[in-house]
Amino acid sequence: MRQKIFNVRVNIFLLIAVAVVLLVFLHATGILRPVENAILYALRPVQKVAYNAGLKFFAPENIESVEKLGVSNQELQNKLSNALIENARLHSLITKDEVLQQEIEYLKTNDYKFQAAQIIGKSPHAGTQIYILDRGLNDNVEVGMPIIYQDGILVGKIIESGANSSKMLLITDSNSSVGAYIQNDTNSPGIVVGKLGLSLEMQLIPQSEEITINQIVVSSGIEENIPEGLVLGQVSSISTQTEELFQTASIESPVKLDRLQVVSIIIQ
Amino acid sequence: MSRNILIAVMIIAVLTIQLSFIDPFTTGIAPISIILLFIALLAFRLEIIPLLWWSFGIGAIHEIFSILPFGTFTIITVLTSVALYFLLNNVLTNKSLFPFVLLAIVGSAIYNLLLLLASTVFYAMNSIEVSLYQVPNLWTGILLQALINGGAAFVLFLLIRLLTRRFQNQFLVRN
Repeated sequence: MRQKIFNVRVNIFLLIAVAVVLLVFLHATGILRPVENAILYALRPVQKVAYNAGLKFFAPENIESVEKLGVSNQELQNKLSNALIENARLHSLITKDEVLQQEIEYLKTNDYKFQAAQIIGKSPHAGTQIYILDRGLNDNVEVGMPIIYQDGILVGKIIESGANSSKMLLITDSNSSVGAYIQNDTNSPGIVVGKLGLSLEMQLIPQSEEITINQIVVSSGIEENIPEGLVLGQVSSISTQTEELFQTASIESPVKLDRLQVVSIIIQ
Repeated sequence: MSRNILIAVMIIAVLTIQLSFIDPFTTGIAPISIILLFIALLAFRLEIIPLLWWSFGIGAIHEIFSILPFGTFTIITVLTSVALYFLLNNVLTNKSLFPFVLLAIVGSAIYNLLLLLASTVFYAMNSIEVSLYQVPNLWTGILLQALINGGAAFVLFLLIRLLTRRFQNQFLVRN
C-alpha cells in the first residue's frame, strides 16, 4: 500500500507555495501580462464609478465631467502654449538674449499634445502616492510622460504603463523629484521633491540665491519628457542655515493633489 | 457553484471599493480595510482548502495594483488567512459574534505587521524607495484600522444574522 508522504494539509500548503512561485514566474516572464491587462480593463469602468463616488463623498467641490474636460482640452493646450510663450517672452524682455529669442520661435512652432485621463484608484501601499489612470499604451501613454491639471500645473508623471491603464506618481510622493527653478531675477534652481504625500519641498537652492515667499516655482525642463515652465506651486516658507551650502523652501501647490479626478498627460 | 460565483463577485467588489473608494482619499494607513474584513469572513465560513485558494485569488488580483515586488500581497494574504484559520480552529471555541470580531482585529494586525515587515525588507534591499515604517502615525493607523475593522465586523455579523439564518452560534469540535 502506498504511504502518503505528507498529509492533506501539508500537501495543500505545498501546492499553494508552488502556485505562488509559479505566479511570480509567469509575471516576471510577461506571460501573465495579457491576463493582468484583461483584469484591469474589466475593472476599469467599475473603478471609475467607485472613484467618482468617493470624490462626491469626500470632496464634492472637485467634481468635473469628462465631457467638460474633453472640450477644454484644446483650450488648455492653447493656454499652456501661450503661458510658455509668455514666460519666454518676459525672459527675453528682461535679458534681451538672442538665444531666448530663438526659444520663442521654438515654442511658437512646438505643439504639445495631450491625452485626457481619469484617476480610477490608488496603489495599495500606504507609504506611496501612486494613482491608477484609465489610459495606457493603447492611448500612446508611456513611462516618463508628465501629467498636468487645469492651467498647466504639474501634478505627476507616468511610472508604469500597461495596455489600458497606467500608474501615476504624484509629485508629493517621496520618490518624486523634479528639476525646477523659482521665477525670480536669477531663476534660482533647485529640485522639488515630495514629502510622504503630504507636501512639496524645493531642495538644493544655492545659499547665494535670494528667494521670497509667494514666488512661483516652475519645471526647469531638465528631465527628458518634462517641458520647461510647468507650474509646480508657490514658495510658502524658506529654511536657511548659514552653515549649509543650500537652502530649502516649502512649496504649496495651487491644487489639492489628493483630490484629483481628470488629468491631462502630455504626449510627446 | 453559486456560492463560488458569489465569492468571486464579492472579491471584485471588495477590491474595487478598497482601491478606488477608500484608499485614494486617505493618507497613510486606511481607517478601514474591507479586504481584511472579507478575509476574516472567509476564514470564519470556509474550510482550509477553499480558504487558501480564495486568499490566493484575492492576493493575486491585489498584486496588479501594487508597486511592491510581485507576489508580496499574495503571500501576505495567504499567511493572514492561515493564521486566522488556525486561530479560529485551535484557540477559539465557537463561531459566534466575538470570535468573528476578534478575527477581524487580529487579521488586521497580522496583515499590517507582515506588510510592514515586507516593506522594510524591500526598502533595505533598495527594491522600493519608501518603507511603510516612514508613514506618519503608522502605529496609530494600524491600531485604528484594527479597531474599526472590529467594529465593522460586529455590525456585519449582526446584519448577516438578521438577514439570513447563517451565523448562528456553533461550538467547534476538535478531532
